[in-house]
Amino acid sequence: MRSVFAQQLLLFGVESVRFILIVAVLVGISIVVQLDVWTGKLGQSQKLGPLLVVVVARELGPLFANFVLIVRGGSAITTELGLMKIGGEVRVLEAQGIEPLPFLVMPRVLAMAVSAFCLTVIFVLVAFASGFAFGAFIGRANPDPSVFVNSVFKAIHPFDAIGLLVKCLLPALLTAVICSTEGLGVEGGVTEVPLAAKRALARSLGALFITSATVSLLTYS
Amino acid sequence: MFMTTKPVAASMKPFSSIVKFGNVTVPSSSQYETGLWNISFGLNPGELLLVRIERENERLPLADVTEGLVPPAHGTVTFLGDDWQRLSADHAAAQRGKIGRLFEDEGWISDLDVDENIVLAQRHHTQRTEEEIREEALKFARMFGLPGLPRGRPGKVRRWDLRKAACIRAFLGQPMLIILEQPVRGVYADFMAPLLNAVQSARTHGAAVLWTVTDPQIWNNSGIRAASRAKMLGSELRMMEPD
Repeated sequence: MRSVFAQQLLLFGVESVRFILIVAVLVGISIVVQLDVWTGKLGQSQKLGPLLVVVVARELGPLFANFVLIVRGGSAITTELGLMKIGGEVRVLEAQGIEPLPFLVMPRVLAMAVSAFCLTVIFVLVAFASGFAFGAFIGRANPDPSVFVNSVFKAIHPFDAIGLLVKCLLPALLTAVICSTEGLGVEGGVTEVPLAAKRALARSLGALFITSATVSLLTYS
Repeated sequence: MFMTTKPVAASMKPFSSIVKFGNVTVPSSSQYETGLWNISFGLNPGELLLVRIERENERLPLADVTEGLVPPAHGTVTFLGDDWQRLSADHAAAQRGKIGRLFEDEGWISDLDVDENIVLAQRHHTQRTEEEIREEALKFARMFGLPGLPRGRPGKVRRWDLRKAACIRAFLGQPMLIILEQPVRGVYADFMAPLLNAVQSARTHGAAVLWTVTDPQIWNNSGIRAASRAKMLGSELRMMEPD
């Protein structure tokens, strides 16, 4: 089970780092700079920290991290488990007295959750750093990083950490469960596998946006 | 999960047969070429039942039913005195850990190396150390003519070595019941002697063996000292005279 967990962590988490770094840099440049510019224009520069925390850390970080995980990991889970089911490998496990749920599903669920958390943290940190660096480069932000860091840290409340955790972990867990269920539910031939993957991706995306919206509503209300 | 240091639990309730079929009927399905009709037999410790199956009906639910993976429509299948249908999922899984099986269609987990596949069930069901399990597996590997446990994914390992690896897996951990689904199909003849030795040794330790064959040469091999022989005719099992 540990080796399956390690494999999945490598597949979902480690191999997604480069992609999330690119997205985070681009988001950082566009969002952080925009916010810096507009808060400055409106004379509300002190609001930059809270806005960044709300937009990048609380909303975009978990959303992008989970989106990347669904595209890269979700489809992989469904395809892999679907092919294992069709190829009789799930039956082989059962015949050896190894239940598929703890052996196949649990490591994937855990790997998804750990990957979502790590990718979200990476996304948020890189987006902030790239945004600040680009803002400083074009002369729109205070070149002193401590001012930027202070404004962000002042805006973070313990409640934000809980919201961030829920927003990054819950969709990841749901994605792993949905994709595993779809994969293990494949019956018939190999042609059923891409159909299951398509269904799993649609449902996972739906779950991601619904979870994200619900947590946001609960946070703001 | 039922964890034991050895597959044979000392606290098991008394039983006479390792596996017993009582008027078992399984309807045919798309998964198999035929079903089973009113089959009754028992396998006691140390016994070997050799079953000849028809080439046109090779894919039978016999092994799956024996393992409690396919429920019979009628009749009961008991393993170590327990009816599979009355066992909880956890208990049934633990009981399956006491069965060694050589699958007709190899039966490998493709994203695990062959050596990991071999030790997987023992790792899962027992508290034996990895070294202990691998040491026993290595003994079987040498017995079957392999220099060591095959490494690499099943797709990358030679077919002959896979068949031998499947044998190692089936005999590993002194299982109570060993199901051999056409074990020598497609393998060189020199594989037969070590296989017979392994079967004999397992029987001496009290294991029951269910061995299926399609090849008439294997069926007529006098080295297989079967306690009983049976022929599958369609979905019916016809018991033959003992050796």
